[in-house]
Formats: sequence, C-alpha cells, structure tokens
Amino acid sequence: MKLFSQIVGVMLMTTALAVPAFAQDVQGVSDTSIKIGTFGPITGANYAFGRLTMNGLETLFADVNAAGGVNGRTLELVRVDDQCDPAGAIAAVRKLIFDDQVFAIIGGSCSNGVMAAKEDIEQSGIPFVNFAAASNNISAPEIENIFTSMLTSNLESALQAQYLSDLGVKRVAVVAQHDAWGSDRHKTLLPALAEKGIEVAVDEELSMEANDATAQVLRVQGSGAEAVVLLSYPKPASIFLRDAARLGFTSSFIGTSVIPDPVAFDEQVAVPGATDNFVTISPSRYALDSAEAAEWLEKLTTKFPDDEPHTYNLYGITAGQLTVAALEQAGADLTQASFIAALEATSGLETTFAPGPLNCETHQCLQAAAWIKRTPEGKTEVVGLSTLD
Amino acid sequence: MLSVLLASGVANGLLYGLVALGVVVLAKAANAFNFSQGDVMALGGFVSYAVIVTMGYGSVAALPIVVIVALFVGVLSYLLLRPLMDAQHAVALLTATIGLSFLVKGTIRLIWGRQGDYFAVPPLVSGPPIILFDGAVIIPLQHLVMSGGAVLMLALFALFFRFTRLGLFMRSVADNPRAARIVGIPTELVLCSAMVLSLVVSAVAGFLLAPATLIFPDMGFSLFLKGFAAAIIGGMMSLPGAVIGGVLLGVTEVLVSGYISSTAQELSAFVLIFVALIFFPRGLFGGRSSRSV
Repeated sequence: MKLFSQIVGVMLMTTALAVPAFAQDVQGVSDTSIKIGTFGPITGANYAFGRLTMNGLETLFADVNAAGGVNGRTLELVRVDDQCDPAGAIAAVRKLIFDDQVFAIIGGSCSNGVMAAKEDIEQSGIPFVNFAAASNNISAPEIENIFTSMLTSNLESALQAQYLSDLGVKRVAVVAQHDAWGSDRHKTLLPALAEKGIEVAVDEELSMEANDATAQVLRVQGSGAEAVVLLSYPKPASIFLRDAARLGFTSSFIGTSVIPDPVAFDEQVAVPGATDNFVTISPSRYALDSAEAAEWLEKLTTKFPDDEPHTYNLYGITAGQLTVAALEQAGADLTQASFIAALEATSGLETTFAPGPLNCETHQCLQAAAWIKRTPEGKTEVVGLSTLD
Repeated sequence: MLSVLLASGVANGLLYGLVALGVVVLAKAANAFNFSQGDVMALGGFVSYAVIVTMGYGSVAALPIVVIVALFVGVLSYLLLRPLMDAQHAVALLTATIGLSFLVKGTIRLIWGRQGDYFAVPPLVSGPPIILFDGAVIIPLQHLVMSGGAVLMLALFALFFRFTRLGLFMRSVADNPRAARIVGIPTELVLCSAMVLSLVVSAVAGFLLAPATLIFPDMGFSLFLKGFAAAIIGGMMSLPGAVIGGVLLGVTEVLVSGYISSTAQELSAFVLIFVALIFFPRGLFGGRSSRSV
C-alpha cells in the first residue's frame, strides 16, 4: 500500500513537473480557454452540497465568459462526481489531474472526501480552492497550493464564541453530535468560549441516530444556560428544537453552517414557533431570497431550471469570484505558480456574498460570517455580521 | 423531570417493542430474522409523509395506506424469500433479507431521495403537555399518542393470536412446527402471515414514530437493531417479552441520558443487553433452559 502511494506520488510529481517542462502550454490552458475542474457529490443523498455549489460556480463562469472571459480566455468547468465518498474523491481528483488535465480545481464539498484526496492534491501541486467543505484540517497547517473560500470549522467556532460574547452571554449549553464532524467543531468551540469568558453550563451529546432529545432538553433547561449552541447536522438540531418546543423550553439557539437556510430548516422542524429563537451562521451575507441576490437567482434558475436554488449556490459564486480575481491578477502569461501567487496575494477582495473581504494570506480566505434567522413572514433575515478580532 | 423522561422512554420503548414483536413473530414461525424490517419501518414513515404532507390528507387516512403498502411489501417479500425459508438455507435467507433491506432502502431513495435530506411529518396532535398533580407529572401529548397507538397495536396483536384461526395456527407452528404440519395446519400460509405481520407491525411503528422525529432513507437499520435488542432482552421467543424488553430499553436509554450523561445513552442499550443476558441467559421471558439426558 505504501509502495503504491509512493508510486502514485512520484507519478503526480512527475506530471506536475513535466507538463510545464515539455509542453509549451500550461496544463488546462489554451489561447482561448482555461479548464477548471471541480468535484463533489453530484448524485446521491448529499448531492446538494456538490451539485448546487457547482451550479453557482458555473453560473459565475458563464457570466464572466459572456463578458469576454479572463484575459481573453473563457472558463470551462469539468465536473466529476465523488458522491461524498472518500474513495470517490480520490478517484475524482486523479481523473481531473490526469485525464482531464485541468489547470486548477475549485471544488470539494465533503470534508472526509477532501481530506482523503488532500495528499494527491498536495503532491500534484495543482492549485486548489475548496469551496464548500468546512474542516479546518483541509487548509491548516498551510499548504502552498491549497486554499479555501469556505468558512472553516475553527473560524466558525471562534465566530460563534464572538457572537455570544457580543450578545453578553455568560453561560451556554453545548449540544453536539460526537462524530468526526461534530468533534472537529467541539474541540475548537470549547477553547473559543473559554477565551471569551463564557462558561459551558452543560455539554450534551445528541447523536445522528437519536430520535428523541427529551433528556437533553431537560438537562439544558435545568442548567440555567442563556443560550444553546447546536453543534449538529440539521436532523439532531431539528429533533432538539421539536422536543424543546413540546416541553415549552425557550432560549437562544445558535446553529452551524450546515444549517444554511433557516426557512428550509423551519419547514424541517415543522413545529410552529420552534425556530423563532434560532439563529445560524452563514458564509453568505445575503439570503437567496433577498433583493441583493435576485439577479443571481434569476441567472441560476435560467441556467439550471431543474435544480431548486439553494444557499449552496452562493458558496460557488464566492469561490468563482475569488478564482476569477486571482486569474486576472495572474495575467495573460498564466501558470499554476502565478495563479497560486495571485491567490496568496489576495487581500481585501470584496465579493457579492461573502460577509467580509477575502484575505488569503493564511489560505483560509473567509474570516467573517453572517448571522441569519427566519422572520415570522417566512423570509431569511441577516441579523448580524461577525469578523474575527 | 422523571415523569417526562418516563413518558418519552415508554413511548420510544413501545415502538422498539413493536419492531421486536415483528422479530419474534418471524423467529417463532420461520426461525428467521428479516433485516429489512427496519427499512419497512422507515417506509411506513415515508408513506405517511406522502399521504399527510404531499397529498394533504390527515393521519387517519395515512394509517390504512401504510398498512396496505406494508401488506403488499410483506407478500412480495414472502414470495421472494420463500425458496430459502427452510433450515438448510438459514444463512442464505439471512443474506437475502440484507439484500431486501437494500432494495427497500433503494426504493425509498428512488422515490424521495431527490426531494431533500430529511423529512418532517407534522405531529399527530399538537398542544401543551398534560400536567397532573400540580405539575408533579408532565406528559407531552406526542408521547401519549405514540404510546396509545403502540398499546392499541399490541392489543390487536394479542387478540389476533388469541381469537383468530390464523393466530392459533401461528401459535401452533411456533410451538411445534412438525406436529403442526402433521395435523394439517397450512404452514405455507402461516409462514406468509408471519412475514406479512412482522412487516405490518414495523410499518405501523414507523407511522407512529415519524411525527416525533425526522425521517430519512437510511434510518431503518439502527431502529431494527433496537428492536432486535429488545427481542433479545425479552427472550427472543416471547411476545410479551419483546414488548417489555422494548420498554425497558427505551426507559433505560432516557433515564441514563437524563440522570447520568447523554454521552452514555447509546452505550446504555448494550449494557442493558449484557446485564440482562448475564442474569437471564435466555432473556427475561425465555424460560428456563432444559437439558436432555
């Protein structure tokens, strides 16, 4: 197995080194186009994370192409389905690098998949911008060719703590799912809360398999916590809020970026009033149904009439705008090295939807978040923005 | 706090008990386990979602449709598995039910998979919890309805076995299959009925559970495991034992979670099985072991 990895590694490095040396053209770049690869779940249960984010990216590319492209070259997107599966992600990345010979990869939706493919990406040296996976471990510690335009788990925890501190909260309850995803956030949230002087009154577990949260709700209710941080996927969070509503427990509930649409989440909870005090963190400053997003919403529905528009589309647009800005900065004599340098030099880049300017010095380009909730009229409302101190 | 926890534990436990009943019925009649039971439970939830949310009919309309769908799946399952339902093909039968599990799950995904990750079925009833004895006892309405539905189902089950001809046949086959065959009891019909009944009871459990949780295509296996665990605790071959095992499991989970730690909730089920089997190796109602000399 180790020998196989070494052989693959050598092949990847050889390819990366050989292409500029023996070919006049840079891999994936012609006089008229730049071929960009993307991977993520396009089919299967988790298709929304991938396909919809890709739709946003492709809509942005189409918009740029219609305006003449980047330095005279149009952007061509090659999609590969990984079905949110680590083995699928490795195969997808290898296909994009070896078969499709793309210039760069802008993709990655499921943290486990991106982590599995990270070694190949790193060894190939291909520029990679992660557009939807949230694990901190994808882009930290810093690797030369890996960037992320998504809010990472560690930054999200820090921003959650900051938001609670800004609200004047002193005691919180944490309800978390203790799988790889939840533990990643749990271990960064607790120190972030401590740093802000916020005491954790109770720290409860609610697994993905749980069908009932009565015990957890009662323990949180009895703890005197002023707010509840729900470090969980929509399902456990829904079950907690449903049981909280049934037991008459009200508090401020704080969600994570895996619950990006509080209106859809309210429909999922399906108990009137249960999400009235629920606020979630978002890597987009405008909701999909806002006036600011209307232009993009129309473009998305025109280009992809079969796919329901979703907040994930906006993550793709943010990643696309970062990519285009860096490609423009890299100039007409485009190479992978010049593109990586341009990405790294990105500072103060304003995009349509990111809650703050993108600064890629640390390779974790997004360091701000929006706080969104559902209004009584069933709309999404941005109730605050947080930027790290 | 105790009354709310108990209400929750009993409600969930009765649903585990329903799945356990299905496990026991099939085990007694055919000496087999059907891994697709949990997925049929999920199917029950999805069918009620389709009737209540998509079509806009009420819960009363959903229940008979859930039962009809489960009957259909049960008969189909029997026809598919019948060639393997004998002692010689025990392992093949077990493997086939795993395949059936994937088939049911795949069908759910095919129909509902593109519409979202999780689905919510509105509560069967809504309103404030019932408060008794000046607040000393609080029972959430949802738990009351779940428990009531499960108890009604159990009562129907008991009446079926006690008073119907088919029920009596099934008991006879369970007690002594060879003797039942010799006296002319139609064992084919009994096997088919056991398969259908085990799946119908699971689908009804899914119907009752759906409003209390969120449903998703892969939810079945963990529920089947809980039902299976309840059947083991109860004694595998005992119908009342299956129900009591389910309630014990549900109550233990929620009490451990409420009074000790929510992190121990999942673990508590396995500890309960372990402890129960140490003191009652054949389960709580499995009878005393006998030794032939």
